[in-house]
Amino acid sequence: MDRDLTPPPHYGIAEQPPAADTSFVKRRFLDIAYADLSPSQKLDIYLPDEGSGPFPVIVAIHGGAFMGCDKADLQVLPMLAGLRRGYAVVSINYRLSWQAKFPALVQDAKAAVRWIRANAGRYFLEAKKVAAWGGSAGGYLATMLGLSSGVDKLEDLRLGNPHQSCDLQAVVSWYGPTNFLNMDALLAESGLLPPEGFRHSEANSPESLLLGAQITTIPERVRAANPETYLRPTAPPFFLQHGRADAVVPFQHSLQLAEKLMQSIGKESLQLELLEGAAHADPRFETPENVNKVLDFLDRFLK
Amino acid sequence: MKPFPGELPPKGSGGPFGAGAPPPMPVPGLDFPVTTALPQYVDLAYAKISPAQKLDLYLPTGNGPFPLVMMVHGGAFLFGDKADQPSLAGTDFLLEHGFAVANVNYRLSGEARAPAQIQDVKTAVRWLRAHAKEYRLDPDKFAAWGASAGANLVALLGTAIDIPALEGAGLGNPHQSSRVQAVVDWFGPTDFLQMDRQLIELGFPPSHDDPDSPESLLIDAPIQTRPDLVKVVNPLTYVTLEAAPFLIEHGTNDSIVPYLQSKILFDALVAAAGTERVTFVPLEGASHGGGPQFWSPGNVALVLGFLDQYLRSTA
Repeated sequence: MDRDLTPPPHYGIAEQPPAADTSFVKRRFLDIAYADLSPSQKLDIYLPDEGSGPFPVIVAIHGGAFMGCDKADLQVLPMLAGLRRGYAVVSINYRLSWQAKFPALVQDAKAAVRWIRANAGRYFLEAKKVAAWGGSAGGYLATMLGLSSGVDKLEDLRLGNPHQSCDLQAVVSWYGPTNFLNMDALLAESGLLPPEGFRHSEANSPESLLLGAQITTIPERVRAANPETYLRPTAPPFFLQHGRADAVVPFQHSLQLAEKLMQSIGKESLQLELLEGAAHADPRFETPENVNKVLDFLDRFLK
Repeated sequence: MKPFPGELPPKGSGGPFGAGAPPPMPVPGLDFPVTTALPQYVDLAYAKISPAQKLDLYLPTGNGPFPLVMMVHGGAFLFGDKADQPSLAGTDFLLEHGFAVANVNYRLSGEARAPAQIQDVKTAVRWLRAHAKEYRLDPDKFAAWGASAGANLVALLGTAIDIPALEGAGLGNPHQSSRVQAVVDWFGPTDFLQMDRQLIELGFPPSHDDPDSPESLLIDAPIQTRPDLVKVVNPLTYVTLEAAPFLIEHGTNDSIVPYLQSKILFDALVAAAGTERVTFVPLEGASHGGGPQFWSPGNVALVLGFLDQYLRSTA
């Protein structure tokens, strides 16, 4: 990560994962700019070792409380397991909350998907088969991409490739928030309310920093940032996984999103799994068994 | 035309590394052989519209007529000079082997866009034929050897036979032939439009589609926007049964010009003319720029043997 991209200190990113060793990937193209407004608008492309595709695409979106982490840190490793299954992996950075407020990060993720489609032929990518997969803030972004197709305010076409679509063919969200305003209340229901100074409703929370004001004072802006707001009769297939013991993002978010998605996309295209006893970013999400389960889901819709 | 000023020093005692120095090969930090030979004739003007249209001529010992190897320097079509050490690499071997060597300059892309470069090189061949007697050259035994951008030009020499647009006949000696009897093509670009795709396929970062890439500068337009201009300087466009014999060598680890550029030329030559007169040597692990694998004794012997086959035969 560039030195000038170091975020200010915050409890939400007290422990940032180190860079992943991805040197085992023979064909990787790193730090490609998908837009030129910010040095954060970059992506890394990883291709399977052999062949010229076109490979269906997993867009890997890192988490980090909207304020930290990097496309090349350890969070990308589960997605890279997709290379052996014939997926290309494109890991993206996006503007963080201390660089630009909502909706900049959503606009960036959408611009990255448009870039992927515009450059698909060049990089052996299959433009018609693009899924997003991320955890925490990355799960939020993957969900937003999946639900907010065609919402003008969330899309900045000036970032490039305006004629491309940013629609997705599948979404995998791990412990992503879907409604910023009820997080504390739901955590309290489970007996997981954070101590004062670490609550989502406070002015210094990751969500307040993302939106530019304490979220309890700006309900309209929060509404615009909640993935739930954009639920419509159609959506791509979703796989939601969440730990029941998640003390950062309440598991009810995935549960409630799944209930609503069930009405639109139906059980054929929806998978929900609540992992008993699993915490936020629990290692159980990244076991080979679980990663294979995710890839099995993607195989159903991208192959 | 002016002869080299002063007495010609004995071989191996002069050159840019100072009189009296021993032959400076190998030089630490350089992975190609340093040339000690000096040209007998410097800056022979083969055409008149640009100061770049000049060549240096090196003759071996003996009376001739000598078979000739014309060397065409690389440098991304942007830079390079006939007298630079990298452009000269191999000259000593050729002279010791009894070949005359002509090292040519041509208009670079900053001065003139394609196909000026191949027009110049073809005009140089015609000029050398027209002056063969004067310089004791055998006009029926010409080969061309180039690396990188120079290899693109020599590949065009070997494939684009009697293509008026590439001849530049107006530059001089229009009635001479610009054919060569053999081509040594070292890691030259062929189809610019495929370069980035091939680099990506091999896992190297792409760059040739950029508007300021050497290839885009050569045709004065982003290459993907002008396939018509790219086609003109692509040797594959012209491959027929009449193509010259080719020895093509390319490092498989070349991250600038992917070795697949040579592979597609080889395949096209085989399809058109069979396997007998074309050889493709992918040098495993070698990168761009003619490193040690290109200059191993075995590979130098391979190149000289190939040239012997087509420049020495009495047929």
